[in-house]
Order: sequence, then C-alpha cells, then structure tokens
Amino acid sequence: MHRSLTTARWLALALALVLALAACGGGDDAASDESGGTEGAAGSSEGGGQLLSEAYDLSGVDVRLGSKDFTEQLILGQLAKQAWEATGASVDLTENLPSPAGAREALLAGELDAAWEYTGTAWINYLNNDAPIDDPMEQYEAVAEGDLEENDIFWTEPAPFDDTYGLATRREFADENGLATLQDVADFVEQNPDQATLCLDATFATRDDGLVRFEDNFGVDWPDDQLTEQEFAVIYQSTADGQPCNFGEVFTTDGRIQSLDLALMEDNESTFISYLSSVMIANDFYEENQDLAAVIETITPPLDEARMTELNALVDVEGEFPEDAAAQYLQEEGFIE
Amino acid sequence: MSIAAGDVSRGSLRVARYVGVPVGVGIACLAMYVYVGSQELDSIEQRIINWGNVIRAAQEQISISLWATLLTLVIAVPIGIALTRPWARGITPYVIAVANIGQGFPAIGLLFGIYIWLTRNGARATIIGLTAYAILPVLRGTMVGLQQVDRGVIKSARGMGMSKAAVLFRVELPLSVPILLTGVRTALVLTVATSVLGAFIGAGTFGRFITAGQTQGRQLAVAVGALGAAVMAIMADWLAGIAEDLLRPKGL
Repeated sequence: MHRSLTTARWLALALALVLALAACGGGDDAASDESGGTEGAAGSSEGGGQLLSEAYDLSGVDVRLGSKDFTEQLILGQLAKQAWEATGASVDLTENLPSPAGAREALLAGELDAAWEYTGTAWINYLNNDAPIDDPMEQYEAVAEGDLEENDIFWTEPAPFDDTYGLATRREFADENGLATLQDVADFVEQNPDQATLCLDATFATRDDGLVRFEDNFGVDWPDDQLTEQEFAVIYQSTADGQPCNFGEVFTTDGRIQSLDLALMEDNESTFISYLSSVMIANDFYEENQDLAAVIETITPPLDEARMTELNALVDVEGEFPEDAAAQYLQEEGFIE
Repeated sequence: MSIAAGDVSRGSLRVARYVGVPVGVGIACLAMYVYVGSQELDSIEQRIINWGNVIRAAQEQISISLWATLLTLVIAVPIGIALTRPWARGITPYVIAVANIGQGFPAIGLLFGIYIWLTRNGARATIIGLTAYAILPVLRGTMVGLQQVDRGVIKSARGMGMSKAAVLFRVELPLSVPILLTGVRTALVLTVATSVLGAFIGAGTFGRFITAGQTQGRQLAVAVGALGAAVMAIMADWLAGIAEDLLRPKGL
C-alpha cells in the first residue's frame, strides 16, 4: 500500500512538471520549430532584408516595452521585442495593456521605455485636437513634433499599413441590400432605421475619431437604441451572425473580416482618419540608444495592409501565437535567421 | 402602557436608517452633480456623462436586477422549500453542489459564455448569469430559515390537526421569513452590483460609464459610473431593508 502511494505521488509530480513545462515552454518551442521557409545564410537572405544581428548592436541595452490588448498590438509588440533581441538588447515586454490609452499612460508614468501607438489615436486623444489632418504622413509629422515638444516622447517613422476604423456587415446582407460603401450604409440607416443595428465598443461610440466621424460626414444620426455597446472582440462574431446587429465596427486590418466573410464597407471619403503605427520611445532613452528606432524603421517597410492583415489572420483565424507570427515575418523578410 | 427602552432605541435606529440612507445618498449624488457641472467636459466626456445616459443606465440596471431577482426567487425558494422536506434529504448535497457552481464561475466568464452560447441579447444574458449567481444565497437562506423553525412549534401545529401544507404555509414559512428575507436582500444587492458587468455584452448599465471612461483615461466618467452603481446597490439594500421590516410577521 505504502509503496504504490509513493509511486502515484511521483507520477503525479512528473505529470505536473510535464504540464507546467508544456504550458510555459510551448510558445518558445513552437517559435524555433516554425521556420518561415528562409534559409538565411549569414549576411544574406531570400527576403532581401539585412540581418539585424549584423547591422546593429544593442547589447547591454535593457528596454521595457509595452503593447495593447488586441491581436495586432500583440504581434507588433513581439516584432519589436524579437527584432531588438536579435541585436543583443534585452527586452521586457508587457502585453495586453488596456487600449486605447493603457500603454501610453505607462510610458508617461515612467513604467515603460517604449510602446506601440497609432498616429490618429495620439492626435485626437492625447494631443487633444478636434480635427484630424487628412494626409496620413502629415498627421504623423504633426504628432511626432507635437509629442516631442510637449511630452518628450519620440516617435519612430511609421509602418506603411493604416489600420483604421471600418463598418462591416455579413456578406449576404450586403448583397441583399446593395451595400458596398459607407455612403450606402448611411443611406440604409436613414431609410431602414429599424434594421440598422450596430455593434460597437464604448471607445468607438465616444471618441471624436469614432462613430461621430461617420455621423458628421454623412449627416446621419445613428439612433441610440440601435447601438449595442459590447467588448470589441465579440463584435466580429456578432456581426457575422447578424445577432444582435447587422453592422459592426471593425479594424480594417483584422484577419476576421475575411475569415468570417464580412463585407467591409469602402471608405472613399476618408470618413475615418488614418492610424499609422509607430513606436513611442521616451526621448531621453531614445537619445542614448538611437539604434532602437533604426531597428524598427528597418523591419517595418514590408508591413503594408495586406501583410499586417495576413499576420493578424495567422493569429485570429489559424490560431498561431503572436510570437510565432512575428518570428515568421522576421524570418521571411530576412531580418533574423 | 409602558414602552421598553429597547423598543425606543430600536425604533429610532430604524428611523435613522429609513431617513439617513436616502439622505446620505442624495447628498453624494448632489455633490457629484455639482462637481461635474463645475468641470469643463471634453467631447468624449460629454458623450459619456449626460443625463440621458444616466437615466438609461439606471433603467437598464433596475430592469436587469428586478428580472434576475424575480427569477432567482421563483427558482430558489421552491427548491429551498423542497430540499427541507424529509424526502429530499438524499439529493440535497447534489443540488447545493449545482448551486455552488453558479457562484463558483467568475461572473464575467459566465456572462460571456451565456452570451456566446445561449442568447445574443445582452440584457437577457446578463439576467441569466445573475440569476445563476444569486441562486445560492437565496437557496441557503430559504433552507436555513426553514430548518431553524422550532420543531416543537411544528409538532404542536400538527398536533392541532393542521395538514402538512397548512403547517408549511401558515407556520414554517412565516417563521422563516426573517432569514429568508436576509438571503433575498443579499441576493438583490449582489445582483444589482454585479449587473454592471453587463456593459461588456451590450446590456449597458452604469458599467458603460466605467468601461468607456477607464479605457480612455477619463476618470470622471469612471467616478460617475462607480457612484451610480454604488447608489443603485445601496438603495436596493435600503428598499429591501424596509421590505424586511414590513414583511416580518408581527410578534417576532
């Protein structure tokens, strides 16, 4: 009796250890197994990019990095972390900070050295402007200048992709009602208010760069009782099911738009403003380690809307971990081996 | 007729509670109203903090809480009564275990689960989740209330020729009312306070102020939402306290 109890106890301990290792080590193991398909011979690569380890040396630099709580941010955070680590830096990444302002607040409070952010978000919400600047790069310049001057925060050159707000509906509904552009949606809201149900999150409902942009641009007032405010992540499924809403607020680079066969309404009037993404770095920290920005600016040029959506879909649709999607991108582009 | 000193102090304590709570709540609300009025609200804050939203949130919260409490009573009280009958002794632990599950789930996970799998109506999903949450205290309250009724009283009632049903309705339940009502009061306050989580699945309530304010760093909105939710819970407790006093059988 005593002997079998001890055996059972050892078995239980072994099982617990195995489970713990699997849980903790799963992500890292997968990353090294998941080769993006690039051989990456030293100094050259198929992706055409330069190996970060050869181009920059950030050894000895400790960076506290932050990213927000949705998939795209998780991937971006991992991209920066892995890119910096490839050059020898040591990165402490805090993920899932509440959007929109969680990462920014931690940076301002001195708890982070760097964090990803979007130009549009900063322009309207942090620099407290009422109207956006139409040209995306001009808006970026204004944000970078303004933030450096007022808050001592440096912004890296932005990645090409623009992840802005959009309205989507399920494919059949779009086809039935001939909806293809935001103007069509506005007309629909006026003509069929009882069917114009919209799922949105609290921030889109209240931000100056949110729903109010749509209402002002098309001169339509979306009836309050047709709005269902809910957690952002639930919106895609709700829209795809048509329950409780026919329309949903989406991010234009989200992979679920395609996977759930949602029809993204075309925004040909720049109704929603541009959101290019950069890394905010505390200026003092940046001045001491300027290569931090150079690394980011090296890895982001291939990241256009199509690519970003692809990476987002890898995570949201295919179920990969953000760190694997990031590693895959960096390898395919030849930045790491 | 002599009035015992104890009666007077208990009476004045009761009056203090009847009057003091609404007065205190009123003062807090007035203070918040004055403070918000004195602040320059930016456009985001204006969209969150306005009378329309406050009234709507209060309506949603009251409606959800009332429905959840009603459902809880309808489910938990009869089951509680049934479980105290002699024939139910065997199944009691299992039923309690199931009721425990409802309380064991983290509330927000429960609400999302119900929202995704059962119903896409945010208000309804919240009501179902809150009911699951509140069943345990009311069930326990009912059971304990009935179990603590003096066996001697029941025996004498039976001895007087009352049927089992009569004993239940005219002796056991009235005597268990104080404890049962405490359970209901607990459930009601729990329900009102937890209903703010409905904001995540589209049920609104004062949770909307809190989520909208917190994610965008507008602390004033969070404060208004928190105060609103607290006021709802305190007033629910106050009303339940009055109901408790009124429904308590005379002579207890």
